[in-house]
Amino acid sequence: MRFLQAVAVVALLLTAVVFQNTGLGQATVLGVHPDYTMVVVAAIGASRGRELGAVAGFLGGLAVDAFVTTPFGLSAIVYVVVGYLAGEVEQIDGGVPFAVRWLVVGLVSLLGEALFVVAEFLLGLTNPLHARVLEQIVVVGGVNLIVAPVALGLARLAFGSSQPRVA
Amino acid sequence: MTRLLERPRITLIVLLVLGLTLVTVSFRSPTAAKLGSVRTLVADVVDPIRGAIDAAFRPFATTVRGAVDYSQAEAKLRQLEAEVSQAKLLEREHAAAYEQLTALSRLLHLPWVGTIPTLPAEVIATTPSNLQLSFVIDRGSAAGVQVGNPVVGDGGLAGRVIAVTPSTATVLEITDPTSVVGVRLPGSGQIGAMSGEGASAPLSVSLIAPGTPLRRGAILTTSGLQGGLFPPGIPAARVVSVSNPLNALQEEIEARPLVDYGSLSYVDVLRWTPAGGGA
Repeated sequence: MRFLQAVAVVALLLTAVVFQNTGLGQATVLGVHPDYTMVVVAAIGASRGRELGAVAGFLGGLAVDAFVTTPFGLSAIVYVVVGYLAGEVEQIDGGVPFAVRWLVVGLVSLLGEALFVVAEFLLGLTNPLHARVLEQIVVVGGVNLIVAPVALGLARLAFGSSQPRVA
Repeated sequence: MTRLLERPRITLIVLLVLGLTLVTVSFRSPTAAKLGSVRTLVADVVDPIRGAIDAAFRPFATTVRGAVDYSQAEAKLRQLEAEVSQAKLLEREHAAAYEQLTALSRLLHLPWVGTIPTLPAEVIATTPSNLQLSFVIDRGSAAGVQVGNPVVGDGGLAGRVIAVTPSTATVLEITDPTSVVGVRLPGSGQIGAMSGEGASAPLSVSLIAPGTPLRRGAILTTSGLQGGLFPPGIPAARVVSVSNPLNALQEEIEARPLVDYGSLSYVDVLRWTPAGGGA
């Protein structure tokens, strides 16, 4: 079962990374790139819990870091937090409604993009006060909110509809 | 305490520590060989899949784009026809001037971009990240591309190569917030530093003394100072605004890159590397 989960995580992440890197995924909204890997990581977290969300975030982040020359591991740290926070829905007693998971994926995406800005500032890579920061955070969060049902559907397809085990 | 040490939290802490370690190693030693090989490995796995999917979907994407943007495409065609006609005229005028300049440069042993060998390349992807403004070209180290090589296209400076794999290279755009280009002003010949401010934002030019004459529309070229990242004379940006605030220590100048990154399809890689390597 664990092996199948691992295969599902890798398959979902590979799909997201490949999609992000093809012409289809490179479209921009107001000059901002939507972050499809982040939405898949958040969907995995919201579907299977904090631990798998964090692990998926780490692996997804490393894959994303391979395509940029910013410090290797930067995206991994941010995605770990995103996956873990999305997985907090597992703490809710009883079944978690789909709408809640949807909202959580959108909200943690907003937070994740804001974390990117903070991390870049800490590493001296960008000025957090530049005019487009807010635009960047809102676009990524908004687009991820829109595509969240697709990502959640993919996660459901990959893991089945069973609830995550509460640790 | 039990809650703090539950398994998901331990996993989170371990992964964050791992991530921080990777960032620290990468930040302190950007050329760490092992990290470079991980990047190459992932790119090698994803690149063929990306190429196959792009090839499969290109007809569909082109059809959709053609249907949606038909009127724009027609207008663009008319504009291009007019530009080609003007360009043919200019080409004839420039041919004579180019020969003179090349001969003079050789005579004076001056480096100039026109004398630097180039390698044509196709833009195959833009880096799908908001962390970095860059694009990927279809030539890599196997074709002789090196880190630090300047890249030109669409009539101006596009950026410089910051990473290479055997088959591809990543080019940092001059609009990236980490990019700084030494530029020379037309007329006065003053040297300034042009910094990227992010996508869609104008470039800012600093270190220009107040009162320096400069008009809107002037073309800034690379300065090519010793130790610079680019050879001299590459047209880089067009001035869009100049202001001289009271008591300011320098002029406030904004410029737009000559390159339209949105429609950039082909570029030339200059086989030139900065004295320090440019990494």
